[in-house]
Parts: sequence; structure tokens; C-alpha cells
Amino acid sequence: MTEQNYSSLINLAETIADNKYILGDRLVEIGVSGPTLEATLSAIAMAQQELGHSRLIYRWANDLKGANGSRVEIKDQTGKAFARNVEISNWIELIAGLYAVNVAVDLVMRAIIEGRNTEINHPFSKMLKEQNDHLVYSKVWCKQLLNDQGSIPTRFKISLEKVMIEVVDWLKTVESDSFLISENIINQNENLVAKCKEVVNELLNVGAVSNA
Amino acid sequence: MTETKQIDYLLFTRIKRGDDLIQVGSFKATCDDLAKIYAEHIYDEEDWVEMYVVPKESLICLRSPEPLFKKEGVN
Repeated sequence: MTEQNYSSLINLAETIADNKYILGDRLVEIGVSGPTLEATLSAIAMAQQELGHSRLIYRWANDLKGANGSRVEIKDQTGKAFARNVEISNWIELIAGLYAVNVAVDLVMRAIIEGRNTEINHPFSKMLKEQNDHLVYSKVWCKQLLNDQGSIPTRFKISLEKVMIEVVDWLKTVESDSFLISENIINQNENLVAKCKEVVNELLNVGAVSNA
Repeated sequence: MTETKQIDYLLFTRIKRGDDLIQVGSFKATCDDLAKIYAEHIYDEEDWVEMYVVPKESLICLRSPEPLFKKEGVN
């Protein structure tokens, strides 16, 4: 299979890797001044893991291109990271971005793992446990922000809605990609967008508790 | 700062089989799930063979030391 054949899979891989690369950077830059010591220390540890995931996925993408993946030096993202994540400038935006990306990426990775194509040798199985930790961390913090005081809950909802626009657009292209479906990389009718919206809506409906 | 209730957790670990189970730290978290994440990501200096987190309020006190100083405002 040539790079041209695999172009949508390479695009998918680089989108995931770019977002993890950016989130790893933001987890350090913003996470270092998190609201609690525990959240800060965990954010720094998670940054290392996100950057590690992105390296593995970049290597895989380069292998798909026919290049020697292990010899390619990663200096910057390839430009496919969600713009909202690149612009993260505070804790609220960081948590919203981390949660939205991890929900979407988790769905895509699991869809590919469950797909029947055994030739693509993806690295996703190795990172599911750590990614789930990041998802739990960001989900609990989302709930805290939704139940916080003043303008924080509203600001958080706005941040989440904005990043979800890009997330949903990306998931639409993935679930309708004819190459990914025809090559059994993902199953037809995977309904990634619906699943993602269901998860996020559950957070917004259940996570926000009315202030007594 | 969030009004969500912060729970005190204690962290117990064992480095190798046969070692004592010791308390290595404490921290605050809002729920058990977050406490597990914090413990794994903050206390990663050793490859612990066992690791437990427990809410401090779950400890059952049988004996506690007498206070050394009078509490402020107490007559």
C-alpha cells in the first residue's frame, strides 16, 4: 500500500498525534500553575504521557508513509491540531480541551482496535490505559468546574462547546471516510459523532448539580 | 476556588514483597477515582508492588494524643 492509499489513515494519525503533542505542551505550560498542588503535579506527569503517545503515533504515521519512523525527528505539530487547543491559555480551556480530545480520540482508537484490519499495526492498544486515566482526570475536573462559583461554570461550558465544534467536524470525516470503511479499519455505522455527543451531554446534564 | 468538597486521602505502599506497608503521603481529592489518578501520577518514584489510597475519615481511632496547646478561644 502506498502513502496515497493510506492518506486518510495518515491524516487521522497525525490529527491525533498533533492534538496530543499540543495538549502535552499545554499541560506543562498551563498545568504548572494549576488550582491545586495535586492537579498540577498530575498534569505534569500526564504531559509526559501525552507527548509519549504523540511520538509513538508520529512514528506509526511515518511508517505508513514508507519512511523510517524511528529516525524522524519531531520538531512541531503538522498543523492538524484543533485551533482551540493551540490557543489554550488558562485552566478552564485546558480541562475542556483535554476532556473533549480524550473522549473523541478514545472513541476513534477503540473503533480502530475493533476494526478487522490486522495489517496496519497501530500502536493504540498500548496507550488506552493511560488515556483512560487522562479521561477520568479531565472528567472529574469538568464536574468541579461545572459546580464552581461565579462565572466559571458558564466559561467552562463555552470553552467546551467551542472545542467540540472542531471535535465533531473531525469525527464526521473519520466515520464517513470511505477508505477507512472499505479497508475495515473502522466498521461502517460506527456513529462516532453520536457517541461523543452522548458522552459530553451526559457530563453537562449530570455533572452540573444545582447549587443548594 | 471551587466549593466542591475536598476529601483527605492517605496513601499506603509496599516497595517489594515482604516489605512493610507504609504511609508515604497524603493529599486531597474530590472522589475516589481522582484520588487513584493522583496517587498513580504523583507518587511514581518507585515501582510499588502494592499501592492503596484510603479516605482519612475511614480510619477508626482507638487512641489519639492529648493536645499540647490550648485551642484559641477556648476558656
